[in-house]
Amino acid sequence: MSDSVAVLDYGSRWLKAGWAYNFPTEEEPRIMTPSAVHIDPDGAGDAAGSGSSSELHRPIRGGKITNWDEFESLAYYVLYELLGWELGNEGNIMLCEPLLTGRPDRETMTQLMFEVFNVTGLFCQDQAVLSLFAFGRTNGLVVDVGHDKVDVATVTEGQVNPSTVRRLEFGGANLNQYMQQLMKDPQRQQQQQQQASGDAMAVDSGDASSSAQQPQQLSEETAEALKELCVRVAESEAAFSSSISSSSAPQTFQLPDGQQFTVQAGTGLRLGEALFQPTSLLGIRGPNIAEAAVDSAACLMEPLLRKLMYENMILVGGGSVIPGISQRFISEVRAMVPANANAVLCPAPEYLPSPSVPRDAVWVGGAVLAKVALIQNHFIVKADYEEAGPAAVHRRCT
Amino acid sequence: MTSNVYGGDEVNALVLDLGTCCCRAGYSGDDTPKAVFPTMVGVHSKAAANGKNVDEAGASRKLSVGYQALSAKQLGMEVMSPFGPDDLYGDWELVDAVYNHALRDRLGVRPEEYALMLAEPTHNSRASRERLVELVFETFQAPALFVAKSAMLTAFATARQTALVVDAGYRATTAAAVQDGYVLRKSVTRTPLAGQLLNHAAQAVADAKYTPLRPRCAFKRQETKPGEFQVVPQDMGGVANSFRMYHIEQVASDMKEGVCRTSETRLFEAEGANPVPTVVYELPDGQELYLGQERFRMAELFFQPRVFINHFPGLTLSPDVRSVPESVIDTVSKCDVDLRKDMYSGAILAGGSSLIPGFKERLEKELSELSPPGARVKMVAAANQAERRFSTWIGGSILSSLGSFQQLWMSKKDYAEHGAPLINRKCP
Repeated sequence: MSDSVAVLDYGSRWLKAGWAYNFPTEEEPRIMTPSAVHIDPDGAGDAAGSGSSSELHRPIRGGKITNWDEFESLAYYVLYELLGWELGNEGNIMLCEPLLTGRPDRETMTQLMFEVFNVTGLFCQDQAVLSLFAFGRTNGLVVDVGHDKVDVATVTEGQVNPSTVRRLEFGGANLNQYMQQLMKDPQRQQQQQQQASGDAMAVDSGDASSSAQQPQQLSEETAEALKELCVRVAESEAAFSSSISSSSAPQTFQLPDGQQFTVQAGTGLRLGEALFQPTSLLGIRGPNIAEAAVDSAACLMEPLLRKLMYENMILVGGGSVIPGISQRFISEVRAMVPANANAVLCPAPEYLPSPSVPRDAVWVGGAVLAKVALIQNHFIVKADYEEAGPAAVHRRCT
Repeated sequence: MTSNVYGGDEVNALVLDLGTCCCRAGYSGDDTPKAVFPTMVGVHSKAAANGKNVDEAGASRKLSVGYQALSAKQLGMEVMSPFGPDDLYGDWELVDAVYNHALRDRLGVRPEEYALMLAEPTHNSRASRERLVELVFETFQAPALFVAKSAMLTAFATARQTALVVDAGYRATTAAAVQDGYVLRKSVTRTPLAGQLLNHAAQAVADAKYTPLRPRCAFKRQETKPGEFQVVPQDMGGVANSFRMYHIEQVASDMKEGVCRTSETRLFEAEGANPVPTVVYELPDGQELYLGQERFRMAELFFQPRVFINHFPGLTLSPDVRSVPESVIDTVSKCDVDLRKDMYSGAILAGGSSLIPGFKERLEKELSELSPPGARVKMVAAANQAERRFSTWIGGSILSSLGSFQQLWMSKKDYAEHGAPLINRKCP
């Protein structure tokens, strides 16, 4: 029985894969690759990274796999070529499942793994639980800011409480679109600024910047790269409004491929604020991430358990690395919660590679669990699968 | 011949329990439901926006279900329950929306592939049942179905076939006698002393003592200095009244759960002799409520409703309402004489409202006093919070996963041949 476990975390934007290893370690252990497949109209599909004339398809949307064939080819590329599996000697795989994955999807995944990829063993666990494991905890409230969605859940004793799962329909993708909007129409942005400061006249004026305004439609990749450079979150709503109304000089950013863009002063703050005011800035009705977190903990039935949740909150996922988001999140939560439930965000433990956690907390938690579960024989092996079919997965993985 | 029997060795089944407060859904064989969310549905009515009568048939409504849909402030959204005034299914569109949300959004399954075990209210009528069966087979295309009364499933959850089931729920406390796995229909009694009444009582207490309760979305707290907050009221214009009331009730419900206790003996008016310890409860907007005697008075409504209702301004009960112990005694007296001894010695207490500390002991005591001298009263209640709230669902999960049950499903073929009334023969 091979001891190696591959850990696969499939997200809507990035697919994270790697070998489960013994901590601590020096190098970056996991591979990140975009969750996208190029479909050649005439030939067979190939994983992202080659050719730009074909269409780019994303098989994973909002935590659900929408196209299993594309996912299969993507997983094939990641597991065999990037990770180094050999045909015939695949080893075990640990899957980090998004929340609210229904049983049919899980069974299809099991079937895929055992029949197409011929793995030796399989285990799945919810992403929320794994994020907490990465922080060394089994109880807590997890806010996972992803590409298509933000997932909020509370976990008790290593199990997700189903009544507390919240899925917000906005994420990094919406911020990208918002960036495109802001860059396309800086004139409107200027008008918004003036209206905010009480000036009712929308004047097509020369603005404070010295360089010329260039309304342009950015491609999504460019918008995304630019967003990552300039996004920030203000300390509070009041700070945001005052920063926006005070005009300051625009900044120029240079992308890795050399392109330069001039960005209005408030853009970065607006992007960050969109996570906290989705209704007004993104046009998506619903709670913001702090309200969703408090709401999620509020429907736990035991008050003592709620206190435990507030004391163990974590913010993970791609959106968690935005500068200023942790302080803003915790201050918003504190404002909504009674004072004696001291709400804190847990810091990342020191023994884990610091740049990865909390962004890849799910993957790290998966690696942690994989080793433990392998030793304790929790994995579903081929024999189980042959005996019970895809439904075998439900027996071992709740 | 296997023609009419649905089933086999491996039947995948789902258990759906639509209660008056929350809906519970999950896979059969599990020990807790995977999906739990409020039954109330948010309704955006286009007709109302146009100024027409909302009840007009054909008015299209946009329905939103679940915690998330109800929590954020929405303009013009009414919050309605699918249950009518008699606590049976009233608005079938809302019932359909709730089931849909449970199956497709929370569980992520296709209903055509799973047999459905449904829990229905214990006092459900034949017509309502048949309508439910039609809904499931026509709209959800389920391959098989079974409809069971809540009391029966609760008895199953404690592995008994003969028991007296007292279910303290949200809209009513129902007492029913179950014999050999069948609910004796004439023995079912209901009294409105339940969670909803307690919520209103808690709200009356808070309103009387301090400023009226406000829904969470009506204000925002801003930190002026570390540890000190300033409350900023938010604009609530355009928010429907039912939405406001729903959220105020959530605040009152939280207060009730934190603070209520049952007194061990009958509470009398003049309790000046023993001072009751005062407890502090902090409301979401930072106000602190000091509650002493009120904590006991709220729970006392279950036992002495006619007397204690006067303590809560604005609450009314009909003058012939029966207290919970009286209601249980009524149920037992409607059973056969031979059965009554078994009923008293095998009583099951379930339901969310029964979780008030001290409730079970007090009810047992009252029943011992009111019951005939020879009867020995013994009440069983699950210690675990989740088991008490979900006992109906758990019973459904157990029942639908039994091997010997699999031949009892009503299949789609049966429905096509005999129609909905067959349900009354298949699921008595």
